[in-house]
Amino acid sequence: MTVPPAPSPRTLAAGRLRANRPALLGAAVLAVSVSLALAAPLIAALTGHEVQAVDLSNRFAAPSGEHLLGTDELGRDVALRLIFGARISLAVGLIAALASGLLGAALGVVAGYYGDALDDVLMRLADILLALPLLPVLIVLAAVDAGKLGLPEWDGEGGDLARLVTIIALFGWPSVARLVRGVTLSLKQRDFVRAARALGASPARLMLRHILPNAASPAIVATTLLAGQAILFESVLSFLGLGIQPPRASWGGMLTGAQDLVWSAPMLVIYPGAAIFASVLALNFLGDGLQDALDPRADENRRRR
Amino acid sequence: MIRYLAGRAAQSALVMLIMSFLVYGLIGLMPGDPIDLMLSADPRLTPEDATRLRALHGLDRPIGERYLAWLAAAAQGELGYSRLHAQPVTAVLASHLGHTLALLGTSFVLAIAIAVPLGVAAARRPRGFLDHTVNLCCFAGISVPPFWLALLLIMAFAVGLGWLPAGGLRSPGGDGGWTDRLAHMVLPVATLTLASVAGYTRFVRAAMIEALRQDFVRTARAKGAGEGRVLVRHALRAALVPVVTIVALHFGGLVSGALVTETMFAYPGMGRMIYDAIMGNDFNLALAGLVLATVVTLLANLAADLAYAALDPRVNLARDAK
Repeated sequence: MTVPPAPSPRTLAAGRLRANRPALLGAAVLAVSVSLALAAPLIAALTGHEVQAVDLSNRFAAPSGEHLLGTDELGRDVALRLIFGARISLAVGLIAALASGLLGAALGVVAGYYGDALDDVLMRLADILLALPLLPVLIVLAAVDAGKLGLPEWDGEGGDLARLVTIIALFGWPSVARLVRGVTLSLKQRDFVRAARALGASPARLMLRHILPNAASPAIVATTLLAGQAILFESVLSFLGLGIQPPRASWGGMLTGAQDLVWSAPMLVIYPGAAIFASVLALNFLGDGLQDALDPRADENRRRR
Repeated sequence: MIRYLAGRAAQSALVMLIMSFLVYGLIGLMPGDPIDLMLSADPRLTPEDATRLRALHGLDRPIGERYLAWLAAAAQGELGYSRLHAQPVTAVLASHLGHTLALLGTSFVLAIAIAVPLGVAAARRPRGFLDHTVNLCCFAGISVPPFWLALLLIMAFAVGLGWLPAGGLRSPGGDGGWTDRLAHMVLPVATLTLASVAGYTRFVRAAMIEALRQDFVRTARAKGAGEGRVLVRHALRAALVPVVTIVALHFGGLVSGALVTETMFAYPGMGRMIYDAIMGNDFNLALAGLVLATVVTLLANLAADLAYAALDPRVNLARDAK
């Protein structure tokens, strides 16, 4: 007689995630938006519309077979602009979150491993960044002239995108760094890390191979939640005219044009905002679900209640 | 205790100095400078004039030197002149600060007054019906872009129903009575409250769940204390310690929220003033506004640390301060 092998932690986590309906819904919404965003040029070709094609004879058209969600104040296809806006928001959200996640994990593990003055400086910096009135600071950063710093000007296609990702990532890392530092502090005292060190593993190997993999769960959760934050910041900066520059479609930018039309064309306000709301909500649901799923004590907690 | 206070205050002062220098440097990196603005306004000025003017105003000196000069002047309350408002910066700050305090204060009190009962009620039965409902609303609250929320409220209550004004401080040509003034506050306050209440409720709920697990709660129940007394006197009191800290740490978020809200509702507060100053190349005003916002945020953090020490008897300052 054979005993079935005990389920691995990963299987257990996947099971817990599948049982979490909001998280599943979030994952599904994200999958659909990412697919739509990736397929945007294809969809444009299929419908025969161009995302920036202005048609002043056909402004504020009602939804129809030709224009699924109607047209905006310049006669552009709203549905197509939403799909192209998803490319911007999701790209900024995911890349900025990934960058700050990696930066945060690196700084967190270094601070926790070496401790002392380095730890003090990094964590004080993290405290300050977490406490700052972020939006005014981001607005100044978005307005800064990189040329004055001797940096190359970020002009042309993708320049505004790179600038947004950079400034959001610069402020996103502290939450991840704090979590990873906390895990590192407890892990570096554990026997398996001491054993590896006694066997002559270098600090780099200890951090990369032994500590970081065990700190991955909280870092992944925090990064997922950061992606939602990044999308919110991208949208508000684009809305204020400091992010993605028109005529390129972004959800925040679409709302800039629509805010003067609240009296005449309210649907133009509803669609882009709902798109931002839905994707941020999806990321928050997914992050929360991952947190429950990746926490080994989750089952025990649930049983205790 | 005194040593801890002094050390913490000195640390905060140092951080404020560093932050003000960083903000000073950032403002200096914005496109153009005051002399460029003079050049664009007067075509008769030559490049030689520009060089002479820059030297006159000290703009050709190194940034450290310029910062120290600004700091020395600022310490004496001399913050320069605002380009957009044609008034001394101090006068502009003073006239906007009150409006922001009214908006921030009202929203903050409202948000706390809603968040504490909701968080406590949700924490009583984790994963119960009420908890799920509150949780869902909180997720919606932290996911909604505040500027879109403002637009939705304007569409519903100003455009659709016509109950409330869409922005500004008072009706043009109105009698300027307090009802008119209050009506203009409703939507901005509602926006800022809704934008912050979800986060606060989550903090309260998490802290309460943690507190209700503690032994002293079981003890209180065992000795026969009523449910209300257990919740409020025992659990909530313990839960308030982390909540006060984390709410104070989120003061910066409140400032960001005020910037969005004030901009959306054309409300003449500090947030909108900072935004207008940055967009309008009003260097002196943007600098002073940003430094003020940062300093106030850092003071809130300091207050959070001190409140934490004062509220939690387990925190031993003499030991921590070593």
